[in-house]
Amino acid sequence: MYVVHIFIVHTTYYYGMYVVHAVRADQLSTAMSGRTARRATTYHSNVLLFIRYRRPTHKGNSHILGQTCHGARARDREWLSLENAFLFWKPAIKFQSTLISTTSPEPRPPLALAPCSPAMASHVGEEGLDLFQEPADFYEPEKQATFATHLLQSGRALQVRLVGHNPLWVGHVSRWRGRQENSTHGS
Amino acid sequence: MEEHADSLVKGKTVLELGAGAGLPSLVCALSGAEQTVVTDYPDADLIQNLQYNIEHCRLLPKPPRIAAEGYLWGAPTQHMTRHLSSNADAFDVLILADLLFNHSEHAKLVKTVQLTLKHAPAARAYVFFTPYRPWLYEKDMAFFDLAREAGFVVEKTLEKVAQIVVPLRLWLFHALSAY
Repeated sequence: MYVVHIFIVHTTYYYGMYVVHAVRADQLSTAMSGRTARRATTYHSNVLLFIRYRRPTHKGNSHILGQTCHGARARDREWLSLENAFLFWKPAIKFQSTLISTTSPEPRPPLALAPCSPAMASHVGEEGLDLFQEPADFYEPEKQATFATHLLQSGRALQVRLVGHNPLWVGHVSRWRGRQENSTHGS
Repeated sequence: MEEHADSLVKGKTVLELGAGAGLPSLVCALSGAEQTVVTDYPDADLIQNLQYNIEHCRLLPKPPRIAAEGYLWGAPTQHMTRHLSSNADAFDVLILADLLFNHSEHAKLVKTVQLTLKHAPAARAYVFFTPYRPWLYEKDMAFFDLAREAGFVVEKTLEKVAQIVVPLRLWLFHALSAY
């Protein structure tokens, strides 16, 4: 059974494209990236409504599946990825079109979540209507940047700074090793 | 890339996707690439970190022939190709290092290669991957089926098993665009 959440998602123009800033919902942007996001901003709407069916247990200040999820737990990723992302797609379009048809061209954040499905009602009762108010311990603390050194064939050391954490990396050390191999070896 | 820099990199334009810290791109820039564009998802922290690694790499020539950009796979590419001095709209070399675990993004990755790789016989996209989740190995490999369907020639050129940390199988593929 799905617990239906409604999320408010902002889009901005950044680095030559429209980017969905899916608050705490990295998988949502997988469904939202590309045409849908651009269409939304074409209509001068910077607010989109989304359906999500599980409370996030991580700070999704990264935006796309498998890229830079900060602190996401693997089981949550499995819950929300792939086929679930597809489930997000249709409701996203539906809610987006509803919003566009009822708002002015000027960006205007909605103040309340008017439509409330029975599935969502119980959840609203638990957390209240303000979806942006999270418990104090909701987010995991930010991970500090680390540094890694790659030894070039010339003997010189090349140091790079690493940021972010990804649950798909199965330990970013192994992924870092892959990049080192890539940098050293060719065909 | 460093071992074979003269044939793979030197004098060529290089684009790296999903670069993370940007190590392969930095090595390309150090190895004589004409211009390197290092990209990752357009997250401010990620791109600033790439810029940080460029600015703090003392080995790079001045001015460095490497630029960092945010890029959403499959999106328009003008902001990346504007770094190419020759008014080219595509790159000689693409680097896709450890991206294939993003199974849901394979189609966008293939589209990105179509958009950014030169339609020339010598153009190559180098795809490295490690099956961190061996039970999903077939899903990793599905990328190459998509690439073939899109008209690329896929060639396996390297496999390496690492002895440290975890068994690491490193595959290198050439994807040659249909000219």
